[in-house]
Amino acid sequence: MLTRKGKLKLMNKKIRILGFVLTMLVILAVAGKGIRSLMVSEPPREITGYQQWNTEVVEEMRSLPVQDGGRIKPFQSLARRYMYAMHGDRGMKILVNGERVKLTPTEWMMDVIFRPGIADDLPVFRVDNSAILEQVDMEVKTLRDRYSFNQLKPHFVKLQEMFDDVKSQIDSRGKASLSNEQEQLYSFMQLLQGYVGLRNPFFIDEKTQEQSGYTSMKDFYASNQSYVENLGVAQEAGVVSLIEFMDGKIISDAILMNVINRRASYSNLVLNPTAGERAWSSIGKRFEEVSSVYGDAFSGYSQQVIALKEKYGALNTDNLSDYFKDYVPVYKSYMDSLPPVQKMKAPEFDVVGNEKVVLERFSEGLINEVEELERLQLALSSEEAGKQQAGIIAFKEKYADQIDFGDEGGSISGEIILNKMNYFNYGIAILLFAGVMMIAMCLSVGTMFGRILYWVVFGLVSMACLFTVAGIVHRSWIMDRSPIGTLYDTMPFIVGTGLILLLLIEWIHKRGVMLAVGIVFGVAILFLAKSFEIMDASDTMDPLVAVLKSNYWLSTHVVMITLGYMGGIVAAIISHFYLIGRVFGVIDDKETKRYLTTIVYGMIAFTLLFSLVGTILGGIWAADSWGRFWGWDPKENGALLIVIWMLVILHSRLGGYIREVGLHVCSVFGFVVIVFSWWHVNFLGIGLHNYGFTSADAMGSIWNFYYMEFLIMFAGIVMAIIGTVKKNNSKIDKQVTAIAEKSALNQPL
Amino acid sequence: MPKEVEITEQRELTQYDDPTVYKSIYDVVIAKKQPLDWRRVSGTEFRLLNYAAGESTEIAVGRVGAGGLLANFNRWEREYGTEDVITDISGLKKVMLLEREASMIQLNGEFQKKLGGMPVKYQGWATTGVICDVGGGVLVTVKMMGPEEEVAAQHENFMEFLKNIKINPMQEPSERSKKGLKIEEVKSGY
Amino acid sequence: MAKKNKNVGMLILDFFSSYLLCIACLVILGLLVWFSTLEMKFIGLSGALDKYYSSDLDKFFVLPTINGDKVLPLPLPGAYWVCAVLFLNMLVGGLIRIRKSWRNIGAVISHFGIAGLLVVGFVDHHESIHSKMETFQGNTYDYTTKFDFTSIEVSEFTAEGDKKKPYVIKHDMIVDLEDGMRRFKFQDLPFDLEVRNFREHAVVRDVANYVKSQESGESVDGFFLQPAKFDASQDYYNYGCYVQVKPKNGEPPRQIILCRSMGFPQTFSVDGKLYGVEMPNEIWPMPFSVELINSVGEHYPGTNRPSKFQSTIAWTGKDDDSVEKLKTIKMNEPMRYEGFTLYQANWSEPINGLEFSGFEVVNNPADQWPKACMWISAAGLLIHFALRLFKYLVRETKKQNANQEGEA
Repeated sequence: MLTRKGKLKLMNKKIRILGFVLTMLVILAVAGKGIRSLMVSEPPREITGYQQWNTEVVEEMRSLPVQDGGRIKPFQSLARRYMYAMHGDRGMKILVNGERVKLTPTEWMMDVIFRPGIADDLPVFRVDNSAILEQVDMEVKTLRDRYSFNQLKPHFVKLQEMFDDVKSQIDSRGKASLSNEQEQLYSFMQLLQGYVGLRNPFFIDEKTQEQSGYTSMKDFYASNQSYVENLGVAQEAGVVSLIEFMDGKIISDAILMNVINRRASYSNLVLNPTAGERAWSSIGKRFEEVSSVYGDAFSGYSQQVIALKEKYGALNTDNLSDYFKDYVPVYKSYMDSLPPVQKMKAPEFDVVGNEKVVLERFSEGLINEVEELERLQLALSSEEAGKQQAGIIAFKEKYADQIDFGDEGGSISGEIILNKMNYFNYGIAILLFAGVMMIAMCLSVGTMFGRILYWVVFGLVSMACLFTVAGIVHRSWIMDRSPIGTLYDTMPFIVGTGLILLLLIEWIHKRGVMLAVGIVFGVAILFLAKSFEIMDASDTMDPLVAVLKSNYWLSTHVVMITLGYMGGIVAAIISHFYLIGRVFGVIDDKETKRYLTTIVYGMIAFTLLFSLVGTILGGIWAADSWGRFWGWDPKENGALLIVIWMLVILHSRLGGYIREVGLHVCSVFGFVVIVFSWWHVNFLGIGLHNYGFTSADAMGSIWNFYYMEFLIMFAGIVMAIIGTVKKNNSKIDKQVTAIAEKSALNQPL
Repeated sequence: MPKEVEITEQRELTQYDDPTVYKSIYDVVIAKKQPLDWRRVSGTEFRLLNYAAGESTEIAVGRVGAGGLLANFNRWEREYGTEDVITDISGLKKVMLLEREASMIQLNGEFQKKLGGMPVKYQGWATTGVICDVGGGVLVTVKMMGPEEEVAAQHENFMEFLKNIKINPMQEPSERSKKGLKIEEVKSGY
Repeated sequence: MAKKNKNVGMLILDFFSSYLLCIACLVILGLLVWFSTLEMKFIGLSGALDKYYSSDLDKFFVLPTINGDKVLPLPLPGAYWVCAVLFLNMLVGGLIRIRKSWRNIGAVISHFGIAGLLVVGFVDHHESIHSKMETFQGNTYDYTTKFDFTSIEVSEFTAEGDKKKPYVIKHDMIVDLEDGMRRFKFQDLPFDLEVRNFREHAVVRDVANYVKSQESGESVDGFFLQPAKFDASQDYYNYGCYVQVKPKNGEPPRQIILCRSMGFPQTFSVDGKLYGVEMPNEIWPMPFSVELINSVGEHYPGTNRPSKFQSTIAWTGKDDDSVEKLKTIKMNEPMRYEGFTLYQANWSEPINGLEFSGFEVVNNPADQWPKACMWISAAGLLIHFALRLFKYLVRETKKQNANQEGEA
C-alpha cells in the first residue's frame, strides 16, 4: 500500500517520464520536419471527366515487363520512379466529382501513355522554387506547388530558351558554374522532356485524323495495302482522278508521317523488346528515321507539283498529255526516294482480307512493333474493362519468351510482390504502435498490466525487425546481389541489424530501454529511407556501375562499414536517452546509469572493430581497382574519421579524461561524425565515391541535425560540469563537516 | 638549387620514341624526316603536323572531311581575295603524296589571315598547297604560306618533305600471329 | 646528477607513451582529414594531398582554408608528421611500455597491426610510383608516364629521322623556375638550354585566334603560353615553360615553347643536325611490353552506365621475350609482375575505329602488406573485446544468480 508521499513520488516520476518521452518525440519531429518541409501539400485539384481505370486492368498492367535503367522490371517500378522524380510523392491526389481520389503511379503512367489528353491536366510537375516559373511570366501562388502540363504549355518556348542558355553555360563553364536556380531549371526541363517522351507517339489526335484521313496506324498500313488495288480503280475513272488519288494518298501519308516524326523524335517510350537486340529500342527512334524520309520526299514532290500547277493551271483534255509528260518523272522520283517496297504476306489484319500479297515499305520488325503498340492502344481506349485487360494480356504473351534478364537477375512477379509487401512501411507502422504501447507501459510500471505490455512491445519490435530483414532479403534475391549496393540500401540494413542487436541485448537484461531505443532508431531511419527514395527519385534496384560490380567486396567491405555506422548510431541514440533522461531526472539510479554506459561502451567497441576492418578492406579493394590503397578520398576520409573518433573515445576513457557523462557526450558526437561520413561527403561533388546527388535542401537538413546534436552535447557538458561542481562542493562540505566534528570532539568539555 | 646544371642522365629508347606507335589519335599521319631549316611546333585543331620556317613561314599538314578538292582550293584562294578562279582539277600540277596522285597550286599576292581573331592583310605573300584524296571522303592537305621570298627559298624542302609524309598504319592484331610468337593464355591472379 | 638525467629521460618516455599524446595526435589528424576533405572541392584531390599530406619539411604547418578563400589562423602540423608522432607513440606506449598480460594481449596485437598500417602508408608515400599507360589497339608499349612528375627531354635525330637516346631533365630541377631561370649543359650536345617561366598549368594558344593578356608569355612561331586556372575536376596538370636554345657556336639563341599537351618534340637544328626538345611527364621504361589486342566496354542496355570494362593484352616480359602471354585485365582484377601492378583505369569508345584502353601501372613495395595488417588488427581487437565481453557476461550471470538467490 503506497503512502501519500510514495504516491506523489510515483506521480512525479510518471510526469518526468512523460516529459522525457515528449522530448524524444520532439527530437523526432524536428528531424522529421526537416524532411516534411520538402514535401509539398496543396489542396487536391478537381479533374473534370476523369474516369478511373478498372482495378483488374491496372493489376494486369503493373506486371508488364519493361526495360529501364539497364534492367527489366515491372511497369509499376518504372511508373513509380517517374512519379517520384516528377511529382515528388508516391501517389497523386485529385478530386473527381468532389470525391478524393489517389492515383497510383501505374494508373498515372497509363494515362500519360494512352490518354495523354487527360494526363496533361493532372498536377504532375512539382516545382520547388516558383521563381524559375516567374521568369517566364507565369502566375504562381506559392513557392512550392504542382503544375499540370497544360498549365506549362503556353510558356514552353520561353522555358526552352532559358534551358538552351543553361546548356551552353554548362558546355563552356561546366556544371559547377550554375546557380541554384539554374540547376533547378535544368532538372525541371529534363523532367518535362521526359514526360513528353513518355507519351505514345503513335496516338493520332483528332486534328491529325481530320487532316490526314487516317484514324490509326493500322489504317495507314491498310491503305498501303489497298493502294495497288485502288490505283487501278482510280485509273479507270480517268487520268485526272488518278492524279488526284495519288496526290491525295501522298499528302495524307506525308501529314501523318510528319506529325509522327516530330513526336517520335522525342519519344523514349520503350514497352516491348526489340527482336535480336539486348537493348530494347524506342520504336519512336526507329520510326523517326523512316518517317523523315517521307517528309523529305514529300517536300521535294510538293514543290515540283506546285511549280507544275503554276505552269499549267486547270487541267483539261488539251494540256493533259503535256502535263502528264512533266508529271510522271516527278511522281517517279518521289516513289524512288521512299524506302524500298517489300512484298510480304499479310499478317492478321482484320481490315483487309488474309493471305494477300502486300506492298509494305517498312521492315517487318518495325511494323510488328508498331502494330502491337497500336493494338494495345486500341484495347485500352475501348472503355470496356474486359477488352482492356485482354489487350494487355495479349501484349504480354506476345513477348513472354523474349524477356531475357541476362546477368543482372530479376523477377517480375517477385518484384510485384516486393512492391506490394511494403515491408519497410509495415516496419514503421509496427514500431509506432509499439511506441504507443511503450508509453502505456511506462505509465503502468510495476503492475501486472505493465509486465504484459512489456512482452507485447518486445513482440512488436521483433516483428518489425522481421519485416525489415525480410524486405532486405527479398530485394537482395531479386537483384541477385549483396544487400547493400546503393546509399538507399544502407538504411534498411542498418535498421535490421540494429534491431537484431538491440533485441539480443534486451533479451539478456530485460530492462525495456533497448526496446525504446529500437523504436526511436527504427522509426527515424526507416522514415528517412522513405523520404530519400522519393528525393533521390532513382530506381534503387538498378544494376551497379562496373567498379562496384563485385559481390565479394560488396559483402565484405560495404557490409562491415555499414555495421560500423549501425553500431555508432545505436550507441549515440542510447546516449541521447542517457543525457536527456538525466536532464529530466528520469534516469537517476546508479544501476541504470552504469547499465546504459556499459552498453554504449560495448557499442563503441563494436563500431571500432567493424569500422576499422571495413576501412582497411576498402583500401584493399581500392588497391585492386584503382592502384592505390589509400588516396585520402572524401569517402575514405569519412570512414577514417569514424575510426579516429572511436579510438579517441576509448583512449580518453582509458586515460581517465572522460568518465560517464563524457563518454555519452562523445558518443553523441560520434553520430555527427557518422552522418558526415554517411551523407555529407556524398554532397561534396568530388572524388571517386561521388554518388552524384546534390541538393542544397539536403545540406540544410544535415546542418539542422548537426545543430541539434551540438545542443544535446552542450546540455551534457553543462550537466557534467554542474555534476562535478556539486561533487566538489559536497566534498568540500564533507571536509568542513569532518573538520568541524573533529574540532567539536576536541572541544574541552 | 644551382643555377647551372650538367645533365648526364640519358634514358633508354622505348616505344615512346617510335613515331609509328600511336600516342594519340592524331598520330594517323606522320613524317619521320623533316628539312633541317624547319622547326616543328605545336599542332592545332586542324593541323596534324605543323612547322615554322624563316621568320613567318608556316607549313601545315591537315585533314579535311568536308568539301571536295575544288572547294578546298577555293577556300585557299579566298585568303588572297580571289574567288573560284580554279575550276578544273585536271589542269593543276600533279605531285605524289601518300603514294597517291595529288594536285598542287601556287598562289601569291595580298594574304589575309587572322591575328587575335581579327583579319589582318599581308603584302607580298605566297602559298604552295597540295591536296590529296585518301578515300572515304577524307582529304589530306599540305600547305606552306609565308612571305614570297621565304616560300621560294623553302620550295625544294617542301617538295622533298611531301615524300616523307606517311599514313601511320593501324596494326591489325592478327599481324602478331604472323610473327610466330608462342601465345600462352594466363589466368588472372598472376 | 645521474638521477636528474634519468628524470628527464623518463619524462620524455612518459610523454611519448602517454594517452594524452595519443588523443592529441588523433584529434589533430581528425581535424586535418576533415579540413582537407572540405577543401578538396576548391583545390582538387592533388592539391589537398600536396597541402595536407606532404612530407616536405617546408609544408610542415598547414593553414586550413574554409570555403576556398577564408584562411583559418590555426596552424596545424601536417598529417605526415602527426602520423609519425602517432607511430612513435604507439611504439613506445602501445607496444614497448604497455603491460604485457593476458588482459592486454589483444591491445598489443592490434597496436602492432595498426603500426604496421602506418608503416605501409610511409612506404607507399615515399616509394610507390604511379604512372599511366594509354594504349591503342595493335600497338605495343614498353613504357609508362609518371603522374605528377614533369620532365624535359632533349634528343638528337639521325639523318633518317630516328631519335637517339634523350637526355632527361627531372621534375625537381624545373618546378622552381616560375620566376627564375636555370641553365642546363650537355657534354655531347652543341648547345645549352635555359629554362624559364615554368607554369604548373597552362594552355598553348595560337596568335591567330587568341589575344594575349597580361600573364601571357611571349609569342614564338605563332604560339604563346597562357597560364590557366587549375580545374579540380579534371585533375590534370598541363605543365609548360619557355626554353632558350643557346648554341655553343655563337649563333643567336632561339626560343621554344614547351607544354605537356603538345605530345611530340619541338625541333630545331644546330651545326647541321636536327634536335628535338619536349616536356612529357617523366617516361618510365617498363621491364615488359604490352600490346593491346582488344578492349571491351559494355553498357547496361539502354543506358550510359558502364557494366563491364576489360582489355585483352599480349604481354611479353623483357627477360623472357620468346613467350608472349595473353591476359585479360578487368575492373577489380589487375595483373601483377615483379612488383608492378597493371590496372584497368580508363576506357573510351573506339575513335575512328581505333580501340583504346587506359591502364595505370603502379610500383609499390608495400602492395601486399595491408592484408596482413588487417588480419592482425582484426584479431587483436576481437581478442581484446571478446575477453571483456566474456568477463562482463560472466559478471552479469553471477549477479542475476545472486539476485535470484536473494529473492528465494
